Formats: sequence, structure tokens, C-alpha cells
Amino acid sequence: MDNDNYLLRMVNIDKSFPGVQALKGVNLNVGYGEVHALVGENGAGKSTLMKCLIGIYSPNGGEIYFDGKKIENYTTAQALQMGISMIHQELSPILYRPIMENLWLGREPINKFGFVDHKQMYKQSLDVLKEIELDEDPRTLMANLTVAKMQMVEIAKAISYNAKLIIMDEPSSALTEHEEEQLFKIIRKLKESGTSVIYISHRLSEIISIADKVTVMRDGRDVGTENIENISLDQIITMMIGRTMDEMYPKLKVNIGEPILQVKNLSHRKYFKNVSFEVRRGEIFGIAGLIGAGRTEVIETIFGIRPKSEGEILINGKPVEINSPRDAIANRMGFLTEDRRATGIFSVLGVDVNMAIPNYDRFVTKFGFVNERAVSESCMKFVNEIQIKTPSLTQKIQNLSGGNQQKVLMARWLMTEPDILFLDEPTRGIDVGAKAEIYKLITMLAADGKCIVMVSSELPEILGMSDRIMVMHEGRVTAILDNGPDITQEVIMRYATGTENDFKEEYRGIYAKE
Amino acid sequence: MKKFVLMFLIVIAATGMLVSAVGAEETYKIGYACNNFNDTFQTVIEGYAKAYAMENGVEYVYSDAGEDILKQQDQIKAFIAEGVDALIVVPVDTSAAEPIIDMATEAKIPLVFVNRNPFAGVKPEDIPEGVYYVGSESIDAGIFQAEYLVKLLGTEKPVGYAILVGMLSNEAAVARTEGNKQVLSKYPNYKLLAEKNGDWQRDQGLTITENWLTAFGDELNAILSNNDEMALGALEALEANGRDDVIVMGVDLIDDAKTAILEGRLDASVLQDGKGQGEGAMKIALAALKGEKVDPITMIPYVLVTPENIKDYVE
Amino acid sequence: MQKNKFSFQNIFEKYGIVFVLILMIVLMSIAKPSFRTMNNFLNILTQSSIYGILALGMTLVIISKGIDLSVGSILGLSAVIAASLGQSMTASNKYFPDMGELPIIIPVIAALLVGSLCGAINGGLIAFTGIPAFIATLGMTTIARGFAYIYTDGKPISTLTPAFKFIGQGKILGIPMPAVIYLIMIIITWVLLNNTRFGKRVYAVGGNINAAEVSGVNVKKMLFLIYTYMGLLAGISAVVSTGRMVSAQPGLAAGYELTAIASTTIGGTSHSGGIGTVWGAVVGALVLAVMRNGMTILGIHSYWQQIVEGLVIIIAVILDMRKNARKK
Repeated sequence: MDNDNYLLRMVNIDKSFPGVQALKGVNLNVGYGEVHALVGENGAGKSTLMKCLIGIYSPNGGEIYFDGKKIENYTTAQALQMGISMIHQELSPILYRPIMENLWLGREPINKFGFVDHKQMYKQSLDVLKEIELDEDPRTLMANLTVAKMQMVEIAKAISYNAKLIIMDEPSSALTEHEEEQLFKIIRKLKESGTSVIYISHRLSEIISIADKVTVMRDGRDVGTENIENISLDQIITMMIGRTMDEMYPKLKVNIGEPILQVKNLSHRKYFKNVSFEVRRGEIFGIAGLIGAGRTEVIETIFGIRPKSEGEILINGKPVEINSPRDAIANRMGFLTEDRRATGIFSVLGVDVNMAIPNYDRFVTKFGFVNERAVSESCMKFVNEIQIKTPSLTQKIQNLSGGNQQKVLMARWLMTEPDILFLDEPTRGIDVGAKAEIYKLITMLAADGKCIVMVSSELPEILGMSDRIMVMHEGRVTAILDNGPDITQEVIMRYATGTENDFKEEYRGIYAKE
Repeated sequence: MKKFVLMFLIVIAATGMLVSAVGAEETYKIGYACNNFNDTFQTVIEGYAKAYAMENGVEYVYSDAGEDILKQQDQIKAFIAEGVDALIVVPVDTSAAEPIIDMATEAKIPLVFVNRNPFAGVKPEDIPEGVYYVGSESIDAGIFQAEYLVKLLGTEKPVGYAILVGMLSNEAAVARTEGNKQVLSKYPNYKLLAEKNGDWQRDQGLTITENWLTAFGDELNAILSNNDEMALGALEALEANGRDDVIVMGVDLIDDAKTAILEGRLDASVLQDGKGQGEGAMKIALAALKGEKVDPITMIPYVLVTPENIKDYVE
Repeated sequence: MQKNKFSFQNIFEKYGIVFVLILMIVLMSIAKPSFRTMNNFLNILTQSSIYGILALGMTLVIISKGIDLSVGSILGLSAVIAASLGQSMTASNKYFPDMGELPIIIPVIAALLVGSLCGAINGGLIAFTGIPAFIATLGMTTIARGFAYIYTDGKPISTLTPAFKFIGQGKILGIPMPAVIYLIMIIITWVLLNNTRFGKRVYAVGGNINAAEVSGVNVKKMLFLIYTYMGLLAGISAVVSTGRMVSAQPGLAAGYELTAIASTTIGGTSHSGGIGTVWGAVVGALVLAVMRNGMTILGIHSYWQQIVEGLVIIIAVILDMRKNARKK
């Protein structure tokens, strides 16, 4: 075959680990100056494939051609030398050192005495930062940068290696809309200068707007490569999960009951002002808005994680005082947090402890000991009911997939038998198949008569699941909408960006909008 | 910033004047740098030095180095800066006395080492001008113990003995152990079973002795301890195992040891004359300040205290 | 998958340190017959009891991702206070000259109270001011030691009541009292950590303090209680060691915190939080005790003992990290 048309050709790549065949005959061809999206559920083999490419793993079978030459048995350092550079999903900058030291780490310019030449380093850093239009002094500490800017520094670093191919693993997951646009600008610039990009992302809409081609992986195989013009979002999803979109949001018809949670003129000193809404029995109440709109802060304040500065919270019509998560739990609330790692899982502890931790009070004998059998039985019930895939209850949760971790956390809160359940980005970072299962679970809970308050940045999720949608913009509510066919992503974006605002901020009951 | 520096200088100058004003009244200020107040016997010596200073109208300041060489040097520096007229020092480490001597010589004030001898093996004429030592020859304590042991157990039947060593870096520990061996190695029937450092501590003396009892059983006939604390720990271990046949001796004659000898539990202790050393050090410092001629080394003899003469040491 | 090999490795990795302990005991027994006497085993148990009890509390502290450097000093302070209240009438230098002989329960309670109080101050500082445990307990180290010296004026307190002596040297059914107390504390701590809400929450606080807070765990209260329990154990340990020596010195137990931390660490408790067991702390304490006892019996020189001890700690942690790395 003709290797000259492609910068990279990976042919029939096999990789197996003890007991697992991770990659089975995968092909990937990336042209010069091409942005090539690589998508697939978690565990589909994307990361393994990339690790084979940058020399962390060596494949058991297949061939890799780069820039017309066959390459094999190389280290990551050698890959860098050849011009293959990867920006990892989890950035690991040295926070309290300046940008320039991060950029030139391990290859610091030195002067003739063998000391680091800071002047030279500074000058070279300025050049590289200019190339990606990052307006920061190279002497700024990394810690003072936003995540987006740290990412840009990583890209700058890749460029400084004269990379011909840059692999970006979920680069946008931590970025705001604006920062994402900035990133795309850089990608387009890279492309113009002939650099190729492999772009891995869960956000399929991004892929449509930035990629030239897309390769879909499933179960360690490549399911197909298409030009982006020739394929729709739905088709990509169908390829990824092997099923269609209709199965994604299985909304059930639920009888909406009386108001359970009422929030009146709630304010936080810093993040939001005058937020009022009600959620009724059996209702899924979506909260949409851009990052920084104050959505997460609103539900964190209701749950007692943050102190409110003003306002009132009523449950079943009675005012309640909630000053800590303990108070909230006592009032039958549950909270699935946004950042699973930081505030959700106890990574080194077992599935059982992770599930039972807010619930031990109910498993205590009259002597004050924990009834382990009751705990296991209860945990087992949830493992079966919501199909958590784990070899045992004592398995450390860190060994489970993201989707299953999320299910364990759902089970944690279900076990508290809450009336009100707050879900903050319930499907962030989990694969499409697990997403569908989480949606099914949420729907069942609503049908079971619980109030669900769901914060999400994914508009399809909000539109697919919610009965009503509250939109926020810069700490203010701009609308509370009844979901229906006329509510589209565009409508919500208008409220979320503040171009439209028809919310009266004084509390007027459920149908505040009218 | 400049203002601050200026203020600082004024304060220093004022303090200096105050100190010199005190000096002018002909009351001496003497600094006592103790090695470690956790060492019971050191507090005894220090107590006598302090009492003597009070009786003679000396202004007295003291410090505790907690067995830390550098800490002690800093404390002595602080004493000199404070304007003491003479220094009395129990060196943390006798092999590191050089910097202390330099500091005192530079400040032109008399320096009296007490209890721990930095000049072991040095000829009196080689000791620098204005530096003195008051204490006992550490090796004597070991010799006294060993000789008394021979007196008790004789030179015929086989005797197994073990030595509880103090902190390994202390001259007293090394010399006392050396004294034990110097005597006993002359008798072929005496066998050294083990020697282990218990850092002067009672609890360690206890644990080590327990392990020795396991290791040597009836072979063990005597335990010579570098100090009383460890010896008392050894006694607890022996008594808990019903072994009242083992001879135990300590050094220092602390209060607990006196009681133990009176009760017939402890066989002997060697008294370092705390009063002699404490008062002696203060006397020599004062004599040197008054320009009297003083010998560089003053030896205060050890006394072996046994059930026969213990009555003399109890008030 | 090679199943047999896999499971063997698994067992070895999980219980590796137990094998090390057994191996040490076997080797010592062969080298020195006097090692394998019942008496000596009871000795080892007794000798490990003082820092073993500390290691139990340290396990909780380290699981919660903390550290307590002050336990040695707290032990010293509790010990001198207990001893001053437990002197017999015949004592030549009575701390309270006019006081009669008190029932043993009073000095014991006093030691436990003093220990708990110091621990509570540690816990309060850590929980409510947010200063790191390392700093708070470092401060307490010198503060408690200072109080011990002030209280005693630097002198030992001795000649205690027979009841006190019984705690340190008596036996129940042939088992020395310190070992009995140690066993009781092992059981209590084990139950506390495994069978109570408190225990589950200790793991949660160390595993992910933010997630614990969101899950309704009162994190501040937990930290406060953990360090208070550590202090209480230091108080118990103080009673045992005072009884063993029938006296107490203000400088007692300097450096014991490091032995306790070493025991806990050898037993596989992870300093990154959330991982650790009570039996690990017990095995760790026994490994150190067997090593010290064995090397003394074998007549290995003090200098070498220190080196071997350091090596064992490092090797134990390397083994432990390998175990965790392999799982990934």
C-alpha cells in the first residue's frame, strides 16, 4: 500500500494483557495536516492504542509506519524525538514552578558553564507561547493558570518538540465554552501548518465541528473510519454502542404530584442571587447553564455544603434549617456530586463501604455495633437491582469502571431512601452504554415518586430527561421552562447566555414564568 | 526597615549597658550550661552549684541542651552575648568541647567543665589558660564496681556478667564500661556475657535484662550498670523473674537507689559526689574570676556505697 | 491465567509480613533454643505491649491520613501524673507528702484523663483550626514533655503501691498483665474499627475527606475523636509502663512515637490514607519486638540492631507498595 499519503499508518495492531485481548487487528490511518477524531466507549481500546503509538506499550502484532518509515521497539522519549507527542487527559504540571520550567523540563537550555540559562529559556518560551497565542509571562507559576491555560502550555510544549502528530486525550473536558473555542483555533492553526492531530473525546458535538475524519472503536476493534461530512452524530453513537438513539433517554410517563422541595429567594454571598423554584413528587427538574452560572453552587447550598446568605428552603411545606450535609441527609436528601474522584468515591475502600457510608446509622444493633450481614444484604440488593458489575462487595471501587462507580454512588444515595435527589453531572466521564443505564435508573426513581434535581452541561441530556428546565446565567435564574418539543438547545442557549431573560425574581409559586 | 534596624540597635545597646552596669557592682554573673535535665544526677549537681551561687550572691543563669551538641553551643553563645562573667558547662559530647573552649577564650572569660571530662588523657599543662575541669575520673566508677564484685563473688567459681551501657556517645559510658572490663579481664573466671546500650533509661534497662535472662538464664550472675536508672530497671526484671541471686550495681546513688540499697535489693552504687562537683565548679569559677591561682583539674573522688555504709548517706 | 501461581502470590502478598514474622521466629528458635520458651514468648508480648498499644491508636490516626508525633510525650506526662498519685506510704520522696495511699483506680483514671485531654487538644487543633496533624502534634510533643519536667522537677517518681506493681508485673492465668491489657485493647480497637459506624467513618475520612463530608460524616468530630482515642491509648500505655518499672520518669518513652509509627507501617497501614488494619499493627509491633528480643539474645551488637531495624521498615513498605502496584 502507499504509505506516502499518510503521516501515520497503524496496521492490524494486536495487544493482549494476561487474560485480556485489548486490541484486535486495529487499523488507523492519519493523513498529513489532518484532525482525526478517535471515539469509542470507555474500555473500547482508545487509550491502549495510543499507548502503543507513543511507546508506552509495544504491540504484540501489527505494524506502525510513521512519516513513511516503519517504526518499532521505541521508547516514549524516542517517539517524542520522531515527532509524536501526547497531551494527557489528566494534566500533571509542576504547579509551583514557572511556565517556562514546565515547558523545557528535562531539556533545559544550559550555558557554557553547565548552568541553566534562564534568559535563553525565557526567550524560547516567549516564542512558543506566541505561536499558540497564549498571553502569559513565561515566569508565571503554573498554579496561577486556569486549567485551560495549563492545557495550552501542554500544547505549546508539544509544539516546541516540533511534533508532527499531537494526540489530545479529552482536551476539552475541563474547558469552558470560550476556552474550547480557543483550543479549536489552535487546532486549526496546527492543521494549517501541516501538523496532524488525533483527537479523543466523549463530546461528539465537538468532533463534528473540528475533525476531518473519525474512527470509531468498540471492544478493541475499529468499527470504521468515515469522513466527517458523511456521517451524523446519531450514526456515530450507533456505531459506538451498537444501538440507536431512541434507547438512550427512556423517559417514562410519570404522574407529577405535590411540591416537595420549595426554594425561595435563595442567595449566596458570592455565587448566585434570588433563586426560587419548586420541585414536585415524581418530577425531574433540570438545571442548565454555562460553566460559572452557579448551578452546582445552588444545589450545594441547598444541601448544606455551602452557607446561604439569604432565602428559605421548605420541604413538604415546612421551613427547614440545613447547615451541613448531615442536616440535609436527615431531611431525606441525597447528593451525587459532580467530581466523582474528588468528592464522590473512597477509591481505596470497598464497594460495600462506599455504598453504606451515609447509611450506617440504620445498620446498627442496639449495642452500637454495625450489623455486617444487614449491610451486605442491602448492598447486594442494589448491586443486583441496578446491575453494578463488580466481582465482589469488598472489591476496591477504584478497580471498577467509571460507569459502575457512578452506579455505586447512586446506590449510596438510594440506600438513604431520599425524597429529594440532587444529581450533579450524573453522566460525566462515563461511556455511552453506562449513560443509558443511568438514565434508565433516574427515570425509574422519578416514577417511584422521588424529586430529582439534575444539573448537567450536556443539553441533550437535559432535554432528554427533564420535565422542567431551569436556566441560569451568571448567578441568576433566567428562565424556568416546561420541557416540550418547542424547547430546543438553541432556546436554552439563549437563556443561558443571558440574551433572553423572562424570569421574575420574586417568588410566585410553581409557574413562575407565566 | 531602617527604623527597625535602628530600634534594634538601641535595644541591644541598652541591654549591653544594663549588663555592664550589673557587672560594675561587683556581683558576678555565671552561666551554667547543663547537658540534659532528664539525667537525674545532672540535676543534683546543678542544684548544688545553684545553691552555692545563691549563698555567695552570684547572679545565676542556666540552660538545658537536651543532649544536643549544637543546641548547647547556641546556648553558650547566648550566655556570652548576655555578658556572663564565667561559664560552667557539662558538655553534651566530650569530644566536641573544642568550639566551647574557643568561644570562652575569645570572650576572655573563665570556663569550668564539670562532671564530664573533655581532657581525659591530656596533660594538665596542655590545658588552655582559663579552662578548668571539676569532676571524677569516670573510669574509677567502673573500677570500683568491678572490684566490689570480685570481693563479693571471689576468684574461684565461674561468674557470668553483663554491662548495661549508657548513651554510646558519652565519655562516662565508655569509661565506666572500660573500668569494669579493665578489672574483670584480669580474672579468668569472669566472663562478659553481653553489653548493650540502654541510653541511661530505666525502661530500657528493664527490657534488656528480660532478654538477657532468656538468653543466659542461670549463667548470668551479675549486672553492672553505668547508672542507677538502668540498674533499677534491671532489678524490676530480675525480681519479676524471681531472680534475687543476681548482683546488680549502679552509679550515681540517686534517691531511688538509696532506697533500693536500704531494702537490700540493690547491691551497690557508686556515688559521684554531686555536692563536691557542683559546689567545686562554682568555687573554681569564682576563684578564677578573683584572679586566684587554680589548678586546671580538680578531682572529686568517687565513693562506693554498699549496704554497710549506706547509713552515712541517708539523712 | 495461571490460577495456582496467582492465588499463591495473592496470599503471600496479602499476608507477606506474617510470613516474615513466622520466618523470624523459626530462624531464631533454631539459632537459640532459649528463644522458643513460653517464658520468652510472654516476654516478647509484654515488651511489645507498650508501643503496641500506641500502634493501635496510630493505626486509626494513619488510616485517617494523619500522624501523631506526640504520643511518646503524652505517655511520659500521663505516667508521671499517675505515678505521683500511686505512690505507696513507704515512698521516701513522696510527691504529695500528706496524701494517703489512693486506690489504684485513681491514678489509672488520672492517666487516662490526661492522655485523652492531650489527645483531644491535638484533635481539636487539627479539626477546628485546620493546622496539619504533623504540626499540631509536633507542638504537643514538646509541650507535654515540658509539663512532665515541670511537674516532676526533672526527678523520677518511684515506690508505687503493690496494686500498681501488679498492673506491670502481675499475671492472670500465667499471662503477664501488660500482655492482658494489650490483648484487651487489641480486641476493643478491632471491634471499634470494624464493627462500629465510627470505624467505617475513620476509613472514609482517610479515603476521601471531601466525599466523607458530602456523605454526611461529621469530619471535624471524627478527627477530634480519633486523636482523643490515640491520647487515651497513650494514657493506658503510660499506666502499663509505669507499672512495669514501678516508677515513672519525666523523660519516659521519648521516641516511642516512631516505634509506634514503624509498627503500624510495617503492618501495612498506608500513609496515603484509607488503608490499614488492627492486626497489621499487632503483627508490626511483634515483628519489631521479636527482632529486638532475638538480636539481643543472639548477642548482635547494638549498632547493628539499629541498622537492621531501619532496613526492615523500608523493606516492609516496599513490599506493601508492590502489592498495591500489582493490583493496578
